[in-house]
Amino acid sequence: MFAKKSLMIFCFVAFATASVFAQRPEPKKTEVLGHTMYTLLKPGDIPAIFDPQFISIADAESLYYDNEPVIVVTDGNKAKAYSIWHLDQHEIVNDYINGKAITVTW
Amino acid sequence: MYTANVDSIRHTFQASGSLWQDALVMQDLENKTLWAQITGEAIQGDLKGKKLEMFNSFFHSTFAEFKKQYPNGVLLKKEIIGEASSHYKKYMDDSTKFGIFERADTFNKLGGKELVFGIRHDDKIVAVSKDYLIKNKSYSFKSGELTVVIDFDNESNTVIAYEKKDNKPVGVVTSYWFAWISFFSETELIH
Repeated sequence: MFAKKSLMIFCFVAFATASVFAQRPEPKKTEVLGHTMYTLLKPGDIPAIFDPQFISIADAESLYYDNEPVIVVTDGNKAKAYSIWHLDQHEIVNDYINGKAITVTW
Repeated sequence: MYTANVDSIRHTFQASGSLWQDALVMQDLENKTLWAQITGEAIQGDLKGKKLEMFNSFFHSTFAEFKKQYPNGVLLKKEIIGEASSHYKKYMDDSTKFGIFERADTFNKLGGKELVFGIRHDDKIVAVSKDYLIKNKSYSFKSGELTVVIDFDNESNTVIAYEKKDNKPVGVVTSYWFAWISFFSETELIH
C-alpha cells in the first residue's frame, strides 16, 4: 500500500485542468473583471457528474485506497465522501444531501 | 463547495473550459453564466453579480478516516478501477510550476506551491500554512464576536474548521498559496 500522503494532494484550484490545457494550442484570451480569462476547451469537455451514484463502505473497499484523499460532506446524520483522485477527471459533482442541492467542486 | 440554488432555483454546473486567475470557471447549464469556483461569484453572463451560498459542512480527509468516522456513510462510485494517485501528480510534485501558464515566483511570504488552508468567515480571510498546522495542530482566530478554530490531524490527514461557540462547521479550502493569494490579496497568513 502507499505511504500516507499529505492532505494536499488537494489543491483544488489552480491547476485542476492543468494537464488537459497543457496539451492544447494557444488559448483564447478575454478580459473579465480586470483579469484575463483563458479558454481552451469547450464547456463540458471535462465532464461534470450530474447523476452521482454512491456505494457503501463495504463496496468501496475494492475501489478506494485507504490513503485516498476524499472530500467529506455531512449534513445531520448523512455523510458522503468523494474521491479527489476521481474528481480530478470531473471537477464538479451536482448532488444533494438531505434534500439540499449542492455543488461539489474540485 | 456551494449550495446549488440561485434565487431559490436549483442550478447545475459544469466546467466551462476556461480558467480565470488560474482557477476553474464553472458554467451553469440553465443560464450559461460563468462562475468563479473559488469565490462562487458570477463573473460573466445573465447572473453576473450573483453569488452562490457557501456550503460549509465539508472537510478533507482520507478513505481510511471516513470509514472510522462514518461507518454508515456512502462514497461516490467511480467508473475507473485502480485509480491510485492524482491525475495531476507530476504537476503537484513540481514546486517550480505555478498554474498552467507558469507564472513567475513572486510569492514573498510563503512559497507559491506551499499548501494553505483558507477560510473566509464573514469579512475575515485567513490562510494557515499546512506546515504551521503540522507543528501546532490547531489555530484559532477572532471573527467579529466569534472564535473560529481550525484543527489538523496529521495522522488521518483531516482538517476541520468550526465556530468554537457551538461547533458550527466552517468551510475550509485546501489550496496552493499562489492560487489563494491571487484571489484574496487581503488574506491574513499564518505560517
